[in-house]
Order: sequence, then C-alpha cells, then structure tokens
Amino acid sequence: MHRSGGCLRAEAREGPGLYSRAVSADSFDVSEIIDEIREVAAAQTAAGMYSAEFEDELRSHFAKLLDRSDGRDRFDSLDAALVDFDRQREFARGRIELTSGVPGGEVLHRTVAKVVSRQVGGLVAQLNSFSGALMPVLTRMSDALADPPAHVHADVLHEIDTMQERLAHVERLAARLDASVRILDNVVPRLQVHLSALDGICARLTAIEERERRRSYDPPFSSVAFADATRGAAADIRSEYSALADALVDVPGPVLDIGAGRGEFLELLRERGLIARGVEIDQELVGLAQADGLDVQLEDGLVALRAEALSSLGAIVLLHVIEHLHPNELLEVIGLARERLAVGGRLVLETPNPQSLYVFARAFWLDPTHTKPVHPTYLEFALRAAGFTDVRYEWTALPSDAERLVEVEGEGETAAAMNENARRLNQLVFAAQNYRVIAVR
Amino acid sequence: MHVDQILVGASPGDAVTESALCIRDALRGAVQSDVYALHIDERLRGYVGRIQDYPLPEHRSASDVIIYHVSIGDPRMLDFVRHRGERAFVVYHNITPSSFFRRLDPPFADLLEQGRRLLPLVIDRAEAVFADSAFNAQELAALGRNDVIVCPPPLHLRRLLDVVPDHELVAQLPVAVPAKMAMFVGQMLPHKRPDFLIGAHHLLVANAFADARLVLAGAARNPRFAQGIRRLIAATNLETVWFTGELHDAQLAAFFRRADVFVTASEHEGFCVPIVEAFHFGVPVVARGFGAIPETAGDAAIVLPPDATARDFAEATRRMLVDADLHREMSERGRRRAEQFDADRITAQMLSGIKAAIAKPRALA
Repeated sequence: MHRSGGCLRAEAREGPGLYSRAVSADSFDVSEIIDEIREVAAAQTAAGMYSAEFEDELRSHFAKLLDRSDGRDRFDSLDAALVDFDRQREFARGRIELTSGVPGGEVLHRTVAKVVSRQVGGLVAQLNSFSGALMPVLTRMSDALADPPAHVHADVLHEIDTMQERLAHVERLAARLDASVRILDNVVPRLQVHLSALDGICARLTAIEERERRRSYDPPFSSVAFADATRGAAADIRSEYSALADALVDVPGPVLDIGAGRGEFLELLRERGLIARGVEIDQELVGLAQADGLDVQLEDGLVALRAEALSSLGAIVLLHVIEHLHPNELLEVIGLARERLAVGGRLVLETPNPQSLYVFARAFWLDPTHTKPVHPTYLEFALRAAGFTDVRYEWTALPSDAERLVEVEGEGETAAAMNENARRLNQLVFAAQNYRVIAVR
Repeated sequence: MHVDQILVGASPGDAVTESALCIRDALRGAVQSDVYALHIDERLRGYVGRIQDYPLPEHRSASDVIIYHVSIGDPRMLDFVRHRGERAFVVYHNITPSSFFRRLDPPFADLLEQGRRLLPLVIDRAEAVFADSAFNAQELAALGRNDVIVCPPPLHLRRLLDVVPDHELVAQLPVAVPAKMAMFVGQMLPHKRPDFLIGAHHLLVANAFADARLVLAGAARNPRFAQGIRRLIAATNLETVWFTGELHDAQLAAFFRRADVFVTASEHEGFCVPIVEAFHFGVPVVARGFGAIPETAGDAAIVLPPDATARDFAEATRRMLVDADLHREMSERGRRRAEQFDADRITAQMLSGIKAAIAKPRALA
C-alpha cells in the first residue's frame, strides 16, 4: 500500500491490484480468508449447491431485459423510411422532369409525353396498385419488428420469462425447505425434551387427580336420609329459627341463604313476606326445596355471592355452613358479604360452638364434611377486620337440663364447692351447642 | 490572488462537488477562492457560480490559478481552460469507460469517449495534477504524466454518523428488514453492476439466508437501466431486494445503522466514497477489486479479485454474516481505516500540495 491517507507520489509500477498484498499484522490475513472463501464457493459449486450456469443465464437474461426496451428505437428509422415510401408512391406529374438542356427540348418532351401518355398512364396505374399492395405488407413487417413481444415472439418471450421466474422460485423454495429443516432440526430435540417433561407432569397430574378423587367426599347414600337420621324434625328447626326470621323482617333488601338445605329457613322468611332466595350444593336438597315452591338454586355460595351486585342484599345467612369451609373461603365469604350488603344489611353466621365440649361429643363430628370448628373470638376478629363494626353474639341450643350436671342441695362448704365445680363444668362442657354472630354493615 | 475551481456538474452529495467546496473553504484562509460549474443543481445556487459568470480574463492575472476537476469530458470546459491565461491545475477523478454505456446510452458513451480523448490535452495544459487514488494516477502515468500527486478526496465522510436517522424509516425497518441486511450505495448505473449484486443475493438467499434483504440505495440516473434492474428483480422473483432510489442523509444514516454488511460489485471506481462511509459505521465491506477499490479498502474489507464469480461473492457475504469473529475484526479495521480519510488532515495535505505547486515557477504550457 503506497498511500495511507497522505499525499504521496504515485509510482507507475505500483498498480491497483494491491489487495493480495494487503496483509495485516493483526490476527488474521484477509487474503487467506479470501482464498478460503473461494475454495468453499468452488466446493459448494462442485456439490451442486451453487449453480455454475446461473451467472451466465442471469447475465444473458439481464442483457435481454435491457435490450427489450431498446427495440422501438432501432426501428424508428424503418418507420421513417416507410413514411417516405408512402409519400413517394403517389403518382405526381410535378415530379416528372420537364426541363431540358437542349434548345427546344421542352417542346420535344411535351410532344413525346403526349404520344406515350396512355402507355405511361397504364404503367403508372400498375405501379401504383403494386406499391399500394406492398405498403400494408411492409407496414405489418415493420410493426412486427418494432414490437416483437406483440407479434411473433410474444409466446417465446413469455415462455422464457415464465421459466426464469419459475426457476428462481424453485431454487429458493429448496433453500426455504433447507432453512425450515434446519429450524426443525433445532426445534425438534427441544420439543422432545419438553414432551418428556410433559409426560412426567401428566403422570403427576393423574396421581394428584386420583388422590383428589379419593379424598373428595361422595357417599353412596342419600344426604337427605343422613340429615333426617341425625337432625331434628322440620318443626324443631322452625321453632329454632323463627326468632331469627323475625329479626330479619326490616333488613334493607332481599335475603340470600347460602347452604339453604331443604329451605326451612327460607320458608320462615316467605311466611314473613320477605324476598329471599337460597343456594345449595346438594342436588337432592335443592330438589326438595324447589318442590316446596322455594327459590333455591344448585350453586356454590361463593360463586353466588360474587355474582350479586354491590350493596344489593338486605341479609346474607349461613346457618351451619362455615364449619364446612376452608379458612380462606370463610374470609372470602366475609369480605364479599361486606361488599354485597346494603348499608344496615346483616350477615348472619351460625356454627357449632367450639367452647362447648359437649358439641364435640355429640354433634360436630357426626358430620364427616365438617372441616374444623370456628372459634367465636376468631370470627369476631375476622368480621371486624373486614369492616363490620356492629358484631353481636347469640348462644343457642343449650343442652337440656337432663344433660347438664345438677347442683346438690344443702349448705356447707362441700356442697358449695361441688356446686361451684358443677357450674364450671357446665360452662365448659355443657355450654350452648351453637353460637350465632350477627354483623351489621 | 485567486485560486478558483471549475467542474462540469455541481450537485449536493456528489463527491467531486463536495471535495471542491471543501478545498475552497480551506483556500479562503489564504486567497480568494470560488467554485464554478457548467451544470448546477438548484440547491447549490449561491454556493457555486455559473461558468458563464467566471470573471473575464482581463480581471485575472497570470499568477491566478484555475483548478479543473476532471470527471467527465466536456469540450466546453477544455476550451475554457485552454483559452484562459491563468495557471491551470487538474484534479483527476477518473472518467468511466464508455464501453459500459455504449449500448445503453450512446450519446453519453460519446461524451465519455470524448473526455478520454481530450484528457491528454487537459493534462498537458496542467502545471500540477492531483489524483484521488493511485489507480487514477496510474492512468495518467500511462499518458506520460509521472508527477501526479495522489491525495484522497477531502470529504467530511464522518458527517453521516452525526445525522439523526430518519424516524419513519427507523420505524419501518424492523418489519421491512426482518433478518440479515446487505446494503449497496451508489448510482444505478451499469459499471456499478447492481445486476451482479442481485445474482449474488439470489445465491445467498437460495443457499443460506432465505430472509436476507439486499438494499440498493442510489439514484436511478439512467431510466432504462433502472427499469432493467427492476425487471431483473421481478424476473427472479426476488421480493427480498429493496431498490430505494435516491436517499437523503437521514435515510442513508438509518440504513447504514441497520446494515449487517456493505456490498459493492462496482467495476470502476476512482475512489469509492460509500466504502469509507460504511467503515465509519463499522459495517464490514465485501467488494470486488476493480479501480481504486483495493487501495481505498486496504486490508479493512473482503476485496475479492476481479475474476471472482457471483458464487464467490455470495460466499464472501455469507461468511461475513455467519463468522462473528471476522465480522467484528473487519468492523474494527474499517473504523480504523476510516480515520485515515479524516477530512481536516486530507484537506491540509491537499492545501499544502496546491501551495507547493503555486510556489513553483510557472511552467510554460
């Protein structure tokens, strides 16, 4: 390289073919890379990857494309010649030479012309008809030459263009296929890894489903039969809840009874003229309630609550439901209830009283779907945390006196101590079996 | 003292015009200097004077200088130089061989041939001769002129780096150019061989990068040739070739910033400015070794020998796109190489060349 940005004298012996000596002091030599590139290109040509004929074909096709627009220019002169011919072929007396260098020659010309005029006229007429016939032939030939695509060569040219286009398309199609195959080669092994992982996940899912299925409680006997066998008669229930029904007559909207069962409480509300509906997840119980003309739907309580409009309900009642719920579900019920109740609306929750040990001996574990008892202190805390400020308790279903420890008669320290113990045990063991929380929004 | 420059045609972005203006600005520190041209683009009115407005000989002295930039033949310019009394210097930018245009544009080919014929006369009249490249100097040496001063064109080739890329184009590029992009910058003329690039691109697309794009950026100076190129693109079904037409700087900057490789198959270059522009952007270059290209590119580009086929060219492009080490190395070398064409330094060198020529006693033509 004799110039590196500076002004130096050119020396004739140093030509432009400098690239081969453009050797770098750096890690690699460009000329070696160029040699390598050409070797690879030659090898790929030999392997049929690069087409050797392609360049010549493309070059000649390009020359043809350039020439195609050339046609008209080249035939302009032919057109001009035809116009000239057309003008010349008309017979014109004026174009006949009449002058003569010979004295008196003009008189001689005219005389001769008169003598031969008929013969000449016939000849001229024949010539005219001949050139008249020749003219359209020449014109058509000129048109055909000037615009080959529109005439004889149109089909051939079209064929060549089509073949070029199809060839180019096919050549690249193979490349696209190659590229797709390369992508697939890359993707398929990864997909296989994912698929085998998916197989493992499916197996685990099946195991989980099986475990879930085994743990999901679905007794072969009727839940109604079980309830009848273990719960009190309908009349008992009516008397147990009529006071509660009375207390709800002035709520500011319709009542939703979640876990409505056979609809006994809804019936009490209906008798008091309240608008109320219930949801129940046991199909058989729903059927019984509906048979009594009550509005009870087969629906999950949480789903039903979510569907209610904000501040739309007068009361939400869950009698012996929350002991069936997961703690998270209970909190969601409370949160949703706070939103769905109108101002002044009431949330009524009744559940077995875990502060009465008698409950565990008798009622609570009788139902295998009870998950855990809910402590009143916890429930109150959760209600207040959700925004309920007015929370009241009622204690219901006190064990009968026959069940409770009796106090002894008599006076004295022993009797007093025994009675005190009896009271304490009654408080601990025989306290009310249920408690009811009424939270006002 | 007056040192004026004359050119046949002046247009913005044209390397000859830009270098003349650069020299003029540098000269103005010491002498009075203007640029005159025969054909002037509207946008340069006021910057470049019309040759017919050149001050009359009686307003100039024998010590004043006319620098004639030769890039195409025009007898009017030669007549002008030959019939003036001032000292004459020549800057030779080379004249494209007429054979490239013989079939395509005979009148233009005639003009080029005339330029070649007149060149010895111009050179004989010149006291000092400058050339863009050793390649150009060598042509003059063949005419018996062995004292030619080689100096690259003083151009602000870095300027594109500072141009804010065209927003619209930048937004369009991710969709229009989804994969690798090869770029060519230059006028769509036969000696630039865009048809060769299209052939090589077809091979690249067919064998390696199905989604690669070839951007052909440059003005369609000859409508028939441009039409031929469009037909070739259509005939080979290459929807991956993007023929942009003339671009302004912001669009050019956007393309350069996006390009993965710069390609040129040009068979005649007196210097080749776009290669240096690509270097500035760190875009590696693949070219063929014609004209001044090998010396402009140095060892900073893959310059294939003149007999390289489109297959060689496609393979070189493919290699540049797949070989990350090569790409990085050539990109770095390009940036270093570009620094050697620093406008200020070259202008200073050109200036000192002109001053030295002026300082010599006037030779008799």
